[in-house]
Amino acid sequence: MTAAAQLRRCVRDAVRLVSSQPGVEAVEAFAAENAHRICRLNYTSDIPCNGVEEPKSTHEAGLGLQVVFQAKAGRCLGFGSEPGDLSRRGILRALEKARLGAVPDPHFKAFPPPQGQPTLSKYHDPRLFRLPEKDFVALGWRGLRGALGVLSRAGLRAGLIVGGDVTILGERMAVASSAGIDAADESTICMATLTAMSERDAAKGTGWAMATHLAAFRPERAGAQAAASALATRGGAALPSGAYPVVLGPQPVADLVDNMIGHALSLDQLDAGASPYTGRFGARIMSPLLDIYDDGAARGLIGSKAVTCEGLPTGRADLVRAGRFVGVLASSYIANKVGPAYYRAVPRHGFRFADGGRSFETVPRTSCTNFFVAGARPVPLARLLRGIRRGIYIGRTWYTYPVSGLAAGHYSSTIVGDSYLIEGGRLTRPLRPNTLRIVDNFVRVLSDVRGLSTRPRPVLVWAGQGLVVAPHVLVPGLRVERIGVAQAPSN
Amino acid sequence: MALKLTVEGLTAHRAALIRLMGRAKAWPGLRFADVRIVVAQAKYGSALDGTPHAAGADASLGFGARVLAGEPAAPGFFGERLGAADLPRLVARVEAGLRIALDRARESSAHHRRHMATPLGRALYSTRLAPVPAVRARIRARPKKSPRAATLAALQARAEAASPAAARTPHVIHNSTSLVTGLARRLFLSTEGACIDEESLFTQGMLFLIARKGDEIPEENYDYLGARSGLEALDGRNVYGRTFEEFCRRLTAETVELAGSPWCPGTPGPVAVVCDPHFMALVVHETSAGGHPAEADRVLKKETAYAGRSFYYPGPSDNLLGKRIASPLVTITIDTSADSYGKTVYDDEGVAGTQVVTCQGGILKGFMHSRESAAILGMLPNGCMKAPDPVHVPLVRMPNTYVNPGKTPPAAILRSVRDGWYLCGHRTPSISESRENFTITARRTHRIRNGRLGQLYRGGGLISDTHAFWRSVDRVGTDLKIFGIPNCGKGVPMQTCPVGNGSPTVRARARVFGRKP
Repeated sequence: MTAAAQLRRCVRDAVRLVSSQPGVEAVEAFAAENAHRICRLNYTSDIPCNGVEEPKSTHEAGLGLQVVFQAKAGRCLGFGSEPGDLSRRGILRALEKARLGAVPDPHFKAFPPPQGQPTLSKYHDPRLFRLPEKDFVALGWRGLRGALGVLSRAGLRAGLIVGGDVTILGERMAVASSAGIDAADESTICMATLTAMSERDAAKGTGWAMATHLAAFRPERAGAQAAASALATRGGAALPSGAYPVVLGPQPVADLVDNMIGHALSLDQLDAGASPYTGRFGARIMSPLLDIYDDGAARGLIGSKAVTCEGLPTGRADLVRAGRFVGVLASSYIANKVGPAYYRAVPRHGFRFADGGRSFETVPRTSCTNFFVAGARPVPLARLLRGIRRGIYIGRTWYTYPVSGLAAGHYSSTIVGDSYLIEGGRLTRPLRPNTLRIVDNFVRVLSDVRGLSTRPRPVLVWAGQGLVVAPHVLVPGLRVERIGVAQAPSN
Repeated sequence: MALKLTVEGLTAHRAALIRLMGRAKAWPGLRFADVRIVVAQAKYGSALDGTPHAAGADASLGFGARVLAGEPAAPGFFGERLGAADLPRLVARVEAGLRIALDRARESSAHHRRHMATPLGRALYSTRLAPVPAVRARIRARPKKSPRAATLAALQARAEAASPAAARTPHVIHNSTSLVTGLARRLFLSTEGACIDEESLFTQGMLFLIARKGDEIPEENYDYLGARSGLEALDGRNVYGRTFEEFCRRLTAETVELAGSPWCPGTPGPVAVVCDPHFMALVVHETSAGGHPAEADRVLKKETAYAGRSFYYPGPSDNLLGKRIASPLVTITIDTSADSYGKTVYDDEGVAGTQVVTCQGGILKGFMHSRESAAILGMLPNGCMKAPDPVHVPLVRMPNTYVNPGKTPPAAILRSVRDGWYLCGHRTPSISESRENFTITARRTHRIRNGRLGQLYRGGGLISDTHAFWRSVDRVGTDLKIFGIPNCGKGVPMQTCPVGNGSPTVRARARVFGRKP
């Protein structure tokens, strides 16, 4: 890995060098290195398999420049990047690309000036940057072993699946600009997301483990949790279509956040008119029980960063307070475009996340960090369940998408595991996966939240950006459709 | 500044890379290795609400390596993005990557060996790849209008001119247009002696827009036009037969019309539905033997934690191979040579592309394969392993897949419906995990009465069991069209791959989905 000091030297050199070039009005330099290692797991008891299917990695390092030029066409903004070369030559090559592609973007106003000091420092684990290959591969096998141990002790030998991944991500970045930004950041993430199935019983369970430091990382616990949940949901029952009182677990809430709520509260979507909340700033848009905020500086969570990819300190941004719309997610670009008078955007969300790190090959875009769904008067899960005579506990969903555009609020989502029937105020029988699809409107669902649980849990969504910390949420009348498999006739 | 990334620049390293693969055969423990080295050059331009937003011209270099090593054989991988400064030491970088992949494979093999003795360890096997010829080939791209001939100013000007804002279209409250064109060269080498040097093209235009009438909920719409070709794709040589500008005008007019249309009420049960080729493209993609259920990695349950399994294959002794999965009118082909986003000559394992029928007259005949899945299932590899980025591990991907054309003209299919619904243009899917049922929304839904199109609705779609839908197909049109779908997601980290899916107009029975928000 490139030393953090080298990245920092590169961006400072870049600002000095580029600022001295003819026609340059302003510059922002961003350098990063990402090491992304993944053990993808695949165990199938009835089909030949590799166990650890893909011990793999991607690696990238380089520099990206955003440059404002004074040209004949007026003030032009260009972006250029150069992988693998943090030297003067690499800087000049990136500058040449930025100059070539510069356009008079009327929405760009300025690079952000410095805004205080970050609250996080030295929150990463340096050992993860130099983890030996044998230790990396062993983490993958530990995750798998955690699941297989539970399944084996339960006496199961056939119809079993264990999948998922154990991921180690090390990120280093530095950013400097002619507006005075001079910041750097290092973060490390360990994650395990595992799924276990007893396919013959149509039972599926999920387990997670996350940490910022290797010493606290237990992938085998994710495996064991997934397997235990699969065992607990064997022999599931199906329900007919209808509107049921439901308790959404942390994963379905995170699925809603990742695919809808986060977008609906982002200034980019609000400005475009694509959000159902456009024009409703200050109004009550959700249940008064709900508080929603993003906090990139929360210590110990894997979505935390000390600074944004624009060099601004991260921190808490309140978005919804007691159901009222009070803030937005925003990068500097969109905050400047829309202006400070509307939505009161604090640009704490300008990130360059790509698959596996902070990418020098793209400009900042609005992204979540640690997204919290919280609220007033949380109660233990047992109390949320207590008032439900006949309902559903939904533990895992997927394909959760707005099906008619975000603004309409319609969404569809299939219940695929970790779910139960609620009868007489208690979880009784498992719900058979893939037999119910949620077909409702997320604006309505969030307006109708009647309770939240204590003990929120951090959750990752497949291909999602950022971490969601969510409690269990009670919704009185969620509409679900019965779906099933028509039997295929034989020839 | 002399070093520059170009597709031609790879030639200087070709011989040394071939020699490296020859040397690698002797590395201790290594049983097999392959490597993909890709140089790509691209240009793009985009506009936001008709004003300039971004433009650029860049080139990228990256490689991905796979090694099988140890006893039992286990896989290891490595991927890295490089830059122009890395070119002089490209061979050394690839060698370093291969050695890391070898370390991982050997280490994993040792764990593998220990676990094979445990009660659940019997399923662990020594990784095998189906044998394929070690091809040596050079394939050149031959665009009619080279991506390299495009100027950024011209691309940018077209993005701005095609914007609904340029025509001051009423009711459009937001829009973005973008154009991209590029040329890539991939060198595939293996320790079996394969050396495939293949160029490919990609050109695409995209429009995203939102229209609003009065206080109505805004209508959001987007679509793509493109081909595996040069700039000619923007000038009418595409599935629509339209220029990018005309494509944008039509999509804008459609969106504005929808913004003032009533919401689809839906139906309580299955009704006669006629689906146009664009809507059917997503149904094929998500639910058919030309789509996700027929990808052999899902069949083998490798995507259980991510993109899901396949209901075609509960297990080796209980599956739908050779059984009826659709009406006798339905034949589905996977075709790497068809002119859409999945067009390729060789896949990312060096396997020649093919034209294979996976569903013949409604009977399931086979799957899309990698070399490993073909070896496990005792079938033949068929050129379906792809990684959209060389640093990523290839996955089984649908290339171009389609329902073969039938005998009924589409107008006759519409005329045949006394009381039903017409679904045009695909929008968003929601699918159960093994693909056994689906909800797919359409851009436009029309009532059909007495063979004629009636009221237009927004927000409609189909909800159906997969078997029930495909078995109910009773008319297949003559108007096959294959559409590029640029964003098929799979794997971890998520790989977004362009694929091609198509169908003629089809008549079937399903419930129409809809509800006013």
